[in-house]
Amino acid sequence: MFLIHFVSLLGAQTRHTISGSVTDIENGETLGGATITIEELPGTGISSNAYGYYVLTLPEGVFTLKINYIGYKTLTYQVNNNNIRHDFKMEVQVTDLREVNVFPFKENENIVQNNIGIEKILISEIKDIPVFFGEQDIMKTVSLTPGVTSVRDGNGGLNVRGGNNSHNLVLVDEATIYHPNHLLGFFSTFNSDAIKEMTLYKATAPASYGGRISSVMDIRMKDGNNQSLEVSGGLGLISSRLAIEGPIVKDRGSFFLAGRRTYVDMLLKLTSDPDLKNNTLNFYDLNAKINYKINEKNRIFLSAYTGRDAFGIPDHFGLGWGNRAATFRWNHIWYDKLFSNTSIIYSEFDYKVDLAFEPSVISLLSGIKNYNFKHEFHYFLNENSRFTLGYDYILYNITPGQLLADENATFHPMKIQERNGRENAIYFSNEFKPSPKWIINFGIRLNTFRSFGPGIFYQYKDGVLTDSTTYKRNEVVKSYFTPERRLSITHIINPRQSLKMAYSTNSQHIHMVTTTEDVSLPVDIWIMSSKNVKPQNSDQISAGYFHNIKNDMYQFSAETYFKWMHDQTDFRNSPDVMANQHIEGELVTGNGRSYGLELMLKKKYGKLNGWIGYTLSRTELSIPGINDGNWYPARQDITNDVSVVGIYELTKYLTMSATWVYQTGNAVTFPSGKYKINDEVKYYYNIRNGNRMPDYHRLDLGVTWNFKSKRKYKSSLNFSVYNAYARKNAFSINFEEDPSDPEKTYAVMTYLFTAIPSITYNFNF
Amino acid sequence: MKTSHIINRVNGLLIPFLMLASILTSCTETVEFEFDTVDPELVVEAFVPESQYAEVILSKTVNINNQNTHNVVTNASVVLEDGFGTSETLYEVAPGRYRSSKIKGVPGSNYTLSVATDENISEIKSEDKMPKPVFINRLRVRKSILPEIEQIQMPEWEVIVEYTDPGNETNYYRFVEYVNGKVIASYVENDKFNNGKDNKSFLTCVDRKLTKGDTLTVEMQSISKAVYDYFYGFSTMNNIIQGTTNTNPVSNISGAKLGYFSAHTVHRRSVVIE
Repeated sequence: MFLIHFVSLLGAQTRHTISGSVTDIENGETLGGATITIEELPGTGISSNAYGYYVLTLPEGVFTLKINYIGYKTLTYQVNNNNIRHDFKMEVQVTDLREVNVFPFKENENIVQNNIGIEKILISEIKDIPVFFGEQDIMKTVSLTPGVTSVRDGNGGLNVRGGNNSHNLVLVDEATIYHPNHLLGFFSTFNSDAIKEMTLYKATAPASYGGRISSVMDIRMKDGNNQSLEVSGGLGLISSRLAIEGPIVKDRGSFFLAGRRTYVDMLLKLTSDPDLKNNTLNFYDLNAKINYKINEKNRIFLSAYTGRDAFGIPDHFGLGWGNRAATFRWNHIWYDKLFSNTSIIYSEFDYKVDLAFEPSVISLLSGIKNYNFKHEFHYFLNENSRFTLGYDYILYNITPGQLLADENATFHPMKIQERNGRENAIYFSNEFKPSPKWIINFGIRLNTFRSFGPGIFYQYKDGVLTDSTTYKRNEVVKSYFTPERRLSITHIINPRQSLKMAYSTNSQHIHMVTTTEDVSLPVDIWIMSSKNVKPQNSDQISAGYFHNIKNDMYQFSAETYFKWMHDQTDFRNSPDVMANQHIEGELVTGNGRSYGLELMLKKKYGKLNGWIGYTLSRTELSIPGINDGNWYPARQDITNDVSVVGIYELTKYLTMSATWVYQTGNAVTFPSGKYKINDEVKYYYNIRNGNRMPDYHRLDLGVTWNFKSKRKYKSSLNFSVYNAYARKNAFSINFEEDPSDPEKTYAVMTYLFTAIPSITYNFNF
Repeated sequence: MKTSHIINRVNGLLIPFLMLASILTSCTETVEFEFDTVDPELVVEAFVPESQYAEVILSKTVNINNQNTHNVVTNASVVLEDGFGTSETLYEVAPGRYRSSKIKGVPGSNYTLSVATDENISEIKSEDKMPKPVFINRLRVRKSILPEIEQIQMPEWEVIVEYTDPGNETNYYRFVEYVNGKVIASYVENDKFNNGKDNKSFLTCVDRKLTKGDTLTVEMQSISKAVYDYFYGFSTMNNIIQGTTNTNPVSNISGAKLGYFSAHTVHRRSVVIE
């Protein structure tokens, strides 16, 4: 196969190159992933990279190019035997034209792209989906796609193909967001005003990404309008948003600034309860970005994000957590076929808890941060072959826990030793088309992780300390080499049908252990691979069948996968987790596996659009000492998962929408007996995760009323009802004794929500 | 009745999370539930209190909906040995309840327990060492200063135990709280964060009811790490934050899944509620 590939390279004749960028004509936003096809050469075509840059090499002759991007009008362009640079400026498809019969022919891009296990969501596509408390949320929307689940209400964590929350690499403009949740996971850290798109890789991510074993969620912030000043925002019941963007120099550079804040605590101020009045409960997000095109060959971007949650009761408690991230990027075009991007990235997450204790205040804090340098080349050999080569260097620092207390406190201040690690990776990948019917992408990522001193490093056997060694600054403590393989193959049967398969291996050196899986609290503990903790590894194979019906109006896909997860860590029973230097001694290691079938039927266009997704899957763990080491269902094992999303355009001004989800109850452990200790009734647990929560289902409804625009001023009103038929979905089930008869036990279910209506006013000018 | 608690020192850091969760949660209802039925499992509760005769209670688990939790194991052979070479077979004073008549608890001494029942084939054995005693300096009860928040059950009363932790060793404590002689809760604590300090421990039982004239008694026990781990198992963060993985605490008895063997010191103080 490779031989054929290289032979075809040698046989290249006189060729012409056309290159440039794809942008939105209105605001200058770059459009990554736009497809460019050649009418005269069916089966050939390329797509723009994440920065909107494309290169197309053509043989001699006159060709008609068709440029497609979802939600935009198709552009047609004639090229004629010239090496040229041309920027495509695309126009948004006006809503009226979404009528079935006038919709232009589409290029079946989901069929002809090598994209198994990938979901791309544009903010513009999801604006009509019902929202929770008036907040559009890309993370909530992605959980409506097959293979992605969120266990119960109030849990911001996403499980992708059986992986847990910490197995997802969440990136905003390439910077890692370690805790992408606000307020116990009811909201994500992504302000929809600031986000352009999200690409979720649940099977095989490109070799450029590494570091997590389940998925990559690559979120791109808006660049900012480089044509004219634009203001947008929203006023909601518990939060408001405002974004300003505009050109620095028209066509060359722009800025973007967005903020969001909740004000639950302001509502508390309205209560008459004096104790509640002064409490703090809020969060905010700030996104900022500037980009500037120095010349045709150089463009720079600077993006920053910060967000923080605060919760407090005066003189009693305080709790704050937040993420900070900044990215500097430089796009450089060496010559038309060679594009490079250089990124310098910083990201950080920390949390701090204050507790007033007579006679003083103590604080517990913890955090993780990383510095990242990434340099990547894209080489566009010809329309059938593209190479990526890159280098990725990440420096990690973890503060596992620090207890601050003053002299007269009943506590001793203490600090768990910081840990440092460095990850080096070089990666290479090549996507090529040996024939118009086949697309092959193969890649390799050679990863080296080293943990470094200074510090005392311990070793444990069965939880017992066996050895401790002191290391100096920069002295290597432990080193792991983890090569990762990526392969995906697409076979295009005809323009409406294709078969795809993929295989990948991934490794993860930054591990999160948590005791609070059911609510997304920031008390997670981050550890890195060490003498005791081996890197987590996964292997995944997947295969899928893709079929478009009726001129691309309906897209059907069936994907199946099997994923093995090795060296998964979990706490042993009754661990000591608070500020414990020996936390690694509290861990046990086992294996996981997940397999499933994902079906999706999308209706892309027309008055009614949306999708139905179904997942049948199983996720199991095998951990020594639990259930005799046998495979047992993991907490996130959800057998059936159904999502239905429907958006209906009633009139030009009125859009209605509904989503419905159904999930089998996840695996939990309920007591199977009782006994008395110290005259108190205790419960006996027999088999880990041997029981199920009740099934979860929920309907959300939304109505968006778009007001007539007055000149540039556009506005809309959105009403949503979360959990419209007020299903009492169990958050937890606890067992209590009957107060009148202590010998009797009954089950008490806690649920978080009944129906929650909300209203938001959105504007843009 | 809530079971044992971790004293709210560093673990009290969880309270904000709980409150935050509770602000958003709050609705509960009783649901029909089908409980599993499993084979009964042996439960060993054995203790050698300071200056008192040792006692061993043997029982078996019952199904959740059983009205009767009293499923005793009679006619077992229970042998206790102390660090001074004395060995005795405990006498069954009541069904399932076995007591020593020679061995009394002494701080610093080692105790070995072995149990044989008709049904259990595997050898049931345990060993525990009684730590040095630590005394309650002062016991206080006051109305809670914690803010009241609608729909969140906060302790109405605060019970504060003051004691001086010895600085030269790692200590583990258990506090058993009685109201008018009846056990209402127990708590465990270690000195990880306050070794050698004059400590104030807040006993944070949320549902204790006290009225004027009630006698509140706190028994302070110095316990071994294994016993601490056992009781801690009833009250890890997993259990505090509802709904996560439930597990049985790790027993310090080999051959039995459930129960503990504790040789502990005893120091009691009482206050009468005014």
